[in-house]
Amino acid sequence: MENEFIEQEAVEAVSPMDADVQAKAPSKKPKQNLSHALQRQENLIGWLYISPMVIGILVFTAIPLIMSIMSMFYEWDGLRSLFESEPVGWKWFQSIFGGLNSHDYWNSFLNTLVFAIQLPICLVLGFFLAVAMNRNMKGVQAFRVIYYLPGVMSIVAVSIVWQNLFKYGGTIDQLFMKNGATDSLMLLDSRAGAAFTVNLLLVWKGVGYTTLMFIAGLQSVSPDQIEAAKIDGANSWTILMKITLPALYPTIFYLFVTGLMGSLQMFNEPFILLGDGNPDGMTAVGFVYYFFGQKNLGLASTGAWILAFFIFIITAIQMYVDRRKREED
Amino acid sequence: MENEILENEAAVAATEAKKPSFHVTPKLIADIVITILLALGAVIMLLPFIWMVFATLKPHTEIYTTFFPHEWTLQSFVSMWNDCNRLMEGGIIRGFGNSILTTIPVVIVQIIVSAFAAYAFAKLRFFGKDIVFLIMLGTMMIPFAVIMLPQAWLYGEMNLTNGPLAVIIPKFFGSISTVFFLRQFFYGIPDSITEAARLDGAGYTRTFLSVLLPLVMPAIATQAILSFIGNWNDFLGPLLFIGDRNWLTLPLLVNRLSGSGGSTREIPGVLAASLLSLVPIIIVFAAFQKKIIGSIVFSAVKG
Repeated sequence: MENEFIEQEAVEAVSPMDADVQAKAPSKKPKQNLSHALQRQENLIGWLYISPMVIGILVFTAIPLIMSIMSMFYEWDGLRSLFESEPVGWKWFQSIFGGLNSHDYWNSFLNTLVFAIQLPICLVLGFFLAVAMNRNMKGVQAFRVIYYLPGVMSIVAVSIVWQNLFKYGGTIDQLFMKNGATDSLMLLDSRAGAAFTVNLLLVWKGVGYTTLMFIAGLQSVSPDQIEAAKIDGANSWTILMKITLPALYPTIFYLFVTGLMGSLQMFNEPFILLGDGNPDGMTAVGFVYYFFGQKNLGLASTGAWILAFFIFIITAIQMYVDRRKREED
Repeated sequence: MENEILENEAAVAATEAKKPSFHVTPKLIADIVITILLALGAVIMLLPFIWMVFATLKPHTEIYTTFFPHEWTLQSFVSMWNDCNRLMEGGIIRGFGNSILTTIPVVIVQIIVSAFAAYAFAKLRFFGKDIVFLIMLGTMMIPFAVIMLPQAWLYGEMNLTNGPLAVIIPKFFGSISTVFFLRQFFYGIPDSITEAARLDGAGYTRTFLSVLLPLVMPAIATQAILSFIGNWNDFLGPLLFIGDRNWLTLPLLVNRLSGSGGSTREIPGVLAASLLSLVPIIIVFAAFQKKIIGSIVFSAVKG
């Protein structure tokens, strides 16, 4: 029902006007009659309306973008202007590929990938939750809201809650100690523990969203096909795997790609949960932020662009698959 | 059977009222089992929040050792008040003020600017339209990490980082994703409507404001709500762009609180501040949950 929700609203809003329009329709002139003067006016108005966006993009995106590219080749502290800084050639690239900062950068990159383990978990869990919530029974609406709730909450607030639950001597530790554990589980203070906890937080925060997306996707499953399969004697599990799941492939692909791009840019949760500069929690964006703090914007930007390179590859794959899909349709 | 569900809540309720549900059918058993499993999951989803609320109501000595408070106290809110006052002038109240200041004007101006642009892209024919739109879509692909450091420098040069302006002014220039979203709705409105209005002698702006805008108001409201939540929760942007500690927004303030102390004595106060920072979001979510969830499902259908 929700998938039609907004569209319905828009349509409803339009319909009262329709009667009006139909009455006037005969006097409608074809567009070709638009005179030169009118076209010039429309050019002016069009540019006037988009001018704030164009100025915003030029000043706040294009200029930083150019500076970001240039800064990869400068020793820039972010205090002086870039042009007063010393050019250093490929120093930061050499540093990241095999040099001084190589370990830090690729370690943070590895962390980023480790924190993406949540993505397939969210997809699998979300699929089954969506099937469960897509039933004709009481209370499903409330479940949808509750499961989505963590997704809208402030990342800082929930990360602090999780920090206190999982930290050394925190609630979870105390609970296990009370039941016979002899030592802390090190859920934030060891590498494996941190990876586990961050992923758990991300699943908890993200699974509601994938569930809602899958519920929307389930509307494309044809009831007739399921009926036919039932008559042929297929059991529920077979129907789920052979009919429902394939119908959701487009949703899965979309969620996976967008989720991966989001995951690669992960920063907030590990940063708050594990602290600034903690090697166990430093993501690629965390690396960028850390070296911003160290007043080395050249190295930070180089790290950011290497990350961007991988994101662009994923975007290209997505566009390629989308185009092929459209051609098939 | 599963597919009939997402029709209309009213219709579902009506059929359920009609059918006598005394028989123990396989569906009933499945419903009960699934409801129990979903309810268990729901408890897990809510548990951190419940823990948080209780944690603010007990003394710091039992914060990690009990779930329900043995001893009830509001000491956490007192220490939160004091800690916030120590951290910045005006304390938690100022924090709320800063968050409101960096959210409400942004939401309003951003929506208006974006709606004008969306209208132009959907309904007007002007020189260079397609190429500009393509470039705008292209800028959406640039990861924030790439441009955020030069942006921080730029805002510093513009003297925006001493106050809250660095997280306000740049957002006044519209949001590309909002333009993209609203453009779809303007497309959905037949050209005959705009042309009729134009023939009646209304100018472009009149046509937009009095004819088209009311029609896309539901979509604008949705975008405003999502934008409010996003801006209220924003962390990395303010972390980079707000240099003066008297202008910290609530997420920054809460993060600062938790980072500065760290001793168990201060934890209830930190959690109390976290809880308060969530209140506006909880209110907005409760009031508009249908719209919020609807917008996600809408994007799923589009995607």
